[in-house]
Amino acid sequence: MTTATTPPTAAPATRRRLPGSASMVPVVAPLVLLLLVAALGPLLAPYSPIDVVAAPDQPPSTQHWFGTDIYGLDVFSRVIAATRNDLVVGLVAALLATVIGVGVGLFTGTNESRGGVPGSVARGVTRGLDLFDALPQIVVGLVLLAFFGRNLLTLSVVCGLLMVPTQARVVRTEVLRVRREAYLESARLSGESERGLLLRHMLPNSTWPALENASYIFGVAVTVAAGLGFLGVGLPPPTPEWGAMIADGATAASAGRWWSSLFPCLALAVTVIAFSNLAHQYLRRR
Amino acid sequence: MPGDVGLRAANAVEVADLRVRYRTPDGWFTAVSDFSLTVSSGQRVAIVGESGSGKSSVCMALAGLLPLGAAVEATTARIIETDLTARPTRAIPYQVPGVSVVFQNAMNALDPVWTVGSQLGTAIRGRGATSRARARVLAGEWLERVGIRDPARVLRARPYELSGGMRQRVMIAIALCSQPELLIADEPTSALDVTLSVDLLELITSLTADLGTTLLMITHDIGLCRAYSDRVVVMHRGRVVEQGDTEQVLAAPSADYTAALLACAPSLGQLNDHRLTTMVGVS
Amino acid sequence: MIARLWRSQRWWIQRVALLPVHLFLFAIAVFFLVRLIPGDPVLIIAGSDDLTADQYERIEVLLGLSGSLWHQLMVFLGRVVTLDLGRSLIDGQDVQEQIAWRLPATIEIALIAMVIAIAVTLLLCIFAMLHPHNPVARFAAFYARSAGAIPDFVLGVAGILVFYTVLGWAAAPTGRYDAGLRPAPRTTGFPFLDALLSSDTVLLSSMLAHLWLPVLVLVVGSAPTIMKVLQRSIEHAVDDEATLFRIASGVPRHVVIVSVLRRASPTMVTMCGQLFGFLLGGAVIIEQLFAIPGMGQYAVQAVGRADFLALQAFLLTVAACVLVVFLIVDLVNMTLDPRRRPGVMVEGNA
Repeated sequence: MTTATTPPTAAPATRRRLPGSASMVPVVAPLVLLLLVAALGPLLAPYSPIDVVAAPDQPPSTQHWFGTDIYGLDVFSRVIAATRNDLVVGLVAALLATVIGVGVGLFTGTNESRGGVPGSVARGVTRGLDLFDALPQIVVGLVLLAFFGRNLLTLSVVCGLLMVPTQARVVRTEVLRVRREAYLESARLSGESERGLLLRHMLPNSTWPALENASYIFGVAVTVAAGLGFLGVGLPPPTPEWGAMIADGATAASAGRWWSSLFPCLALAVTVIAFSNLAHQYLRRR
Repeated sequence: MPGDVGLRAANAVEVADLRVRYRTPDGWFTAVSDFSLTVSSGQRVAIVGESGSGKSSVCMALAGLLPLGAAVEATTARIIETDLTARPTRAIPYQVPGVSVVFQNAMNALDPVWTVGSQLGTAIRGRGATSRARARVLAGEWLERVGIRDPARVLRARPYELSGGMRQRVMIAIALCSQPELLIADEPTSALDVTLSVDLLELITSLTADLGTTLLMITHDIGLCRAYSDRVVVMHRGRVVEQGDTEQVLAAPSADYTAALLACAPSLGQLNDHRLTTMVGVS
Repeated sequence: MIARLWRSQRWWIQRVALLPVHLFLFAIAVFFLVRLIPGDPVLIIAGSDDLTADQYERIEVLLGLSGSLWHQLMVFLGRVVTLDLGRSLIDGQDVQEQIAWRLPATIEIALIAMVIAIAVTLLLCIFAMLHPHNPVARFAAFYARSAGAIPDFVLGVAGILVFYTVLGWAAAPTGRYDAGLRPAPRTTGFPFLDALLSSDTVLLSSMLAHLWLPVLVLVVGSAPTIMKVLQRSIEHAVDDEATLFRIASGVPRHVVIVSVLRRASPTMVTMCGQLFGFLLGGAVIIEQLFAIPGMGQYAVQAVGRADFLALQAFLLTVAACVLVVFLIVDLVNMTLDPRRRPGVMVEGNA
């Protein structure tokens, strides 16, 4: 609402203007690096990530850049190998959440105000998603993994499912907003069917926010997976995964041996920040 | 009370070279410049202009209600007893003592979750001189004074339970119950239909006359000024285009802009159906 | 007279009545979820592969897995209503007994953290509202924006490293109190509350020493969730015409501030529902990290044992807690802002 004191805003920037190449480098570079590490994993690791190669609890040295953990595994190799696992979880989860979320969001957004069966179903789905979203993700993830198996596939799928309500909500909001505009337009235009307008304008307009949100979803999914790994209910040991590594190193950290926890922490932080930065840059350009 | 008028300062408002600027991402934006105005106690002044003329910024500046991102500068800016230029800006503004404001839309101005009785009561008690019980009685009296026939029910009601006209009257009651020296009305009737507007303006002008309150009215409708103001100030793009006694200005406008406003604006004052004249940009 | 009472009280009665409906719906969802697990549910829940036909049948009936799907659903819902969550076939313990003593412990930590988080949020936001350019206010804004950036477990490990290993201010992360101390007698079931009531100062001080760091980690990790929301709400409320009108009407300062806060709080209160869910999840992690016995520990152990009955009960219990919190949140909001009550007609544009 406008008050007497609101200053006039500058002309709104054009939507979805793609960012210039120069300013994208600091955002894209870490992502490319991460993807390279994930892809080339085994080739870059000096030691095997799952075999004991040295005495446990060695501080970082020239032989073991990140030191060794409580079992005698090389931390550097494990961090590198875990990149592949955690990134796969993030990517699959983001993809799954976006695809399903867009579908559900479109359905609820278009049907919520209708009467009859589709209307009630749509409203029920929205309410159900809100309640599902309220449950702690770690709790739901924990139970689902226990029920359906602890492997990379189920971990990715579960994390993806946990993120569906967020994407569905984003798309639904956008659909509701665009619908109001679409009706105005179709009232002005003549001979344009409402359905055609909705399909041609609404679909692309409503899904864009979900795509922008996908990189933020990636970060959240990786964090949840790391949390599950931390609890020891994620991928079975000795599969390298950042969360599990942080847990292994936790007791050592409380005794002052910081390296086996710190490096996976840093790797996790870099990944999450890099991907949410991507989302930030996109959002800022709108 | 009418007898008090003589005891008040001769001039309620003395402003010279007022400038209001807002900080925006692209730098400073000047909303008002070279605004000067002197209003003697008890006068009724109308500030007229179209949207974007800066009239609302003036109004908020004089009431001391501008947000942190605004800068107010002036050679002189005395409102009742307060020197505006000497006031520090706060995140949440302080009231300029003796000044009350009435807004365009009571639905936005009234607090949605408190009852009318609670809002009116706290306004009456002000800094704490009156007791709660006495304030409740006074609240009922004030509601009757603004023309509400069932004060007991309205006191218990919340703003969204009332009609638009009643809400506006409640807002006037709250603004005037502290018996301010100056009432600033920011487009008080722009959101109402014709009959309600006339009633409301009659109410405002008669109450302010009773209390000896100076009235500063912001409006985009130049026709209203004829009936409800002694002096008129015409603003355009942040500057004063013309000011003077209402009769003189409306009868013989010296600025082209004023003439154009008179010609094209349909208003309460004009009951003939002219065709609307288009306004070409006048600087 | 009854009709008028009903009309004025209808709003909260309606909302309270929704709770069992939601619980039921969730229970049905869990029922079907368990049916989705690949494999024979009897064998899975019993935890072993070789059973005689007799044993199989007996266990089937015990678990409520015999008969048609409809019959199974009725048995399941009946048991949920009577809080009969079964006896774990893995470790032979009554599930509801375990939950009964662990749940209050976990909820206690989550509630303490929630109260502190809300208090800290209110204080910082009110301060930032009055002094927006103060460095403290700027820090609060930055902190609020970082919501969710650092996961709970990282904060926990970092916290232990800094406050226990390096500074030695916190007790060792080895449980709720020092080994060797006896717990307080069970009066309420909430460990800290019981310790307070029993005025056992040794136990109490040991508990404080052990609990302040985990609670701090929970608060620091979750406060941004509500702080971000409240800050934005307050910004909007301050710029609102209603605030300006209040100021111009000459009321005392504190009336203006209370008016701003009451208009700004509903969004934060709604967020508190999410906050509690967040804290329950965080409590699971914190319990692992600090070796505090509670629901989190129970769930993690159940995963290790593949104890599906326990996990099913765990999920139902957590959902029930979250739904109850949502009910409270809704009721508080409807009290704060009467326009949110069902059946209220609001004319015109708000």
